[in-house]
Amino acid sequence: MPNYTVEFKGHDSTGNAVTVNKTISVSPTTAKPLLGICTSSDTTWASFVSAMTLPQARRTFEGGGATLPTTFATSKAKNDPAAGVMTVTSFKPNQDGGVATFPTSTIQKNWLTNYLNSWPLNHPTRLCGWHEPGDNMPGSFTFAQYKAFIVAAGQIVQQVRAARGPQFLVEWGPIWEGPYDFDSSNTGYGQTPYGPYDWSWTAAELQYIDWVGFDPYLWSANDASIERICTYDDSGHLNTQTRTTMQKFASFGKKMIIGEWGVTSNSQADSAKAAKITAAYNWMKAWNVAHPVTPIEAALYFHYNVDANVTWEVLSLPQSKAALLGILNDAKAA
Amino acid sequence: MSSPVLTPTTNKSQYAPGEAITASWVATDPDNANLTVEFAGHDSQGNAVVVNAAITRIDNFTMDTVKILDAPGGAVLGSMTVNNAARTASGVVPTA
Repeated sequence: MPNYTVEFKGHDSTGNAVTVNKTISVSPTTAKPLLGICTSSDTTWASFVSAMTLPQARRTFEGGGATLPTTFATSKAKNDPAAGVMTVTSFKPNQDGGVATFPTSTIQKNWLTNYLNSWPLNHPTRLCGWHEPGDNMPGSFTFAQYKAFIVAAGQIVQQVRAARGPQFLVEWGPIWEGPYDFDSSNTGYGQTPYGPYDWSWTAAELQYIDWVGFDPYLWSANDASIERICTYDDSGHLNTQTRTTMQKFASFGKKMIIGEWGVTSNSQADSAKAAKITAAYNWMKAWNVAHPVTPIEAALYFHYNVDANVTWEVLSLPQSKAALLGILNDAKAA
Repeated sequence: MSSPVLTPTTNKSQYAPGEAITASWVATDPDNANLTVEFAGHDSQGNAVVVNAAITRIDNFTMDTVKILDAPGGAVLGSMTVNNAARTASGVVPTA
């Protein structure tokens, strides 16, 4: 993302001149999102790159049940700068009370400050805190506590950015599930007492958020497309468009990151999966053309069969493999 | 004869190409000063009187130009329209 300078020049009535510059960032002029991949490990990442091509971004996860890294050099993103890929990474606080107490926890805030201070300059990074929080509310924390965590961590990101200067390229944002968060059929978690479509940010909170993210998946062969589940109500199960995922995220006025997305192989032919992969990318490009203020900056395919009985990966599927390779190459082409 | 202190603000920090951008500013000036006007006089019986009145000398600020550059000190990509009365400037983020 290029930076422009706004130059203000003026003078007072006694002839003293003053010039002040202010930096603004401008979204890329290309309509193509950056395409990235999530894999299970460095080994599977290398296998993917060898079999396909080097993606533009890599999705990694820290914390939760694992010890949080204290430095960039010990993080899962440590190889990204040398590879030339953008880092999209998230962490789940697991020290000193976690999300619920982050805003008042010196231990946690010092950890994040030190972690960010270890980040290499000039390395584009999209950092997220506790992705898909709907899975964990209200069991682990309340929605209010989650929002307070996002704001407090965003304040730290801004403090480090101010201290380290414009070459510090870490941007902060939340990643929600997206369609399922706003689906009235989702009564299993997260929706009560928050209620469907009760996800919001105030303007005061949004000033600490650089981007907003979500994770749309086609879990079923009956899910028509990523576009459908994101642009129609209730994960595309309704024909109305009054409270869709894209309406919700566009309302925040920020660029977007699709932190994870995937198309299942279950109960559908390789050709059908391939077509949905290609269609998803084409829709993202179309979205960006139509929404230059709230574009999808990056989208990261979840090439990781972590979910029981669901196949997201493509390497054994000739048509899906070709489709994913095709969009990765298109995204990299000028 | 001190330079004014200028604090500009843009309506956002991140823009899309072609998006409208507005800016505002606050200028303070060390040359501004609180002055006293001293009135000294007397009546025909020789009684003197001195009265002071406080006034403020304001060093007015004028914004001359607001420009968008491609980098600090780089090429000018566009100019914003300045409204000194409203202390605002408006323009469009360049598309290239």
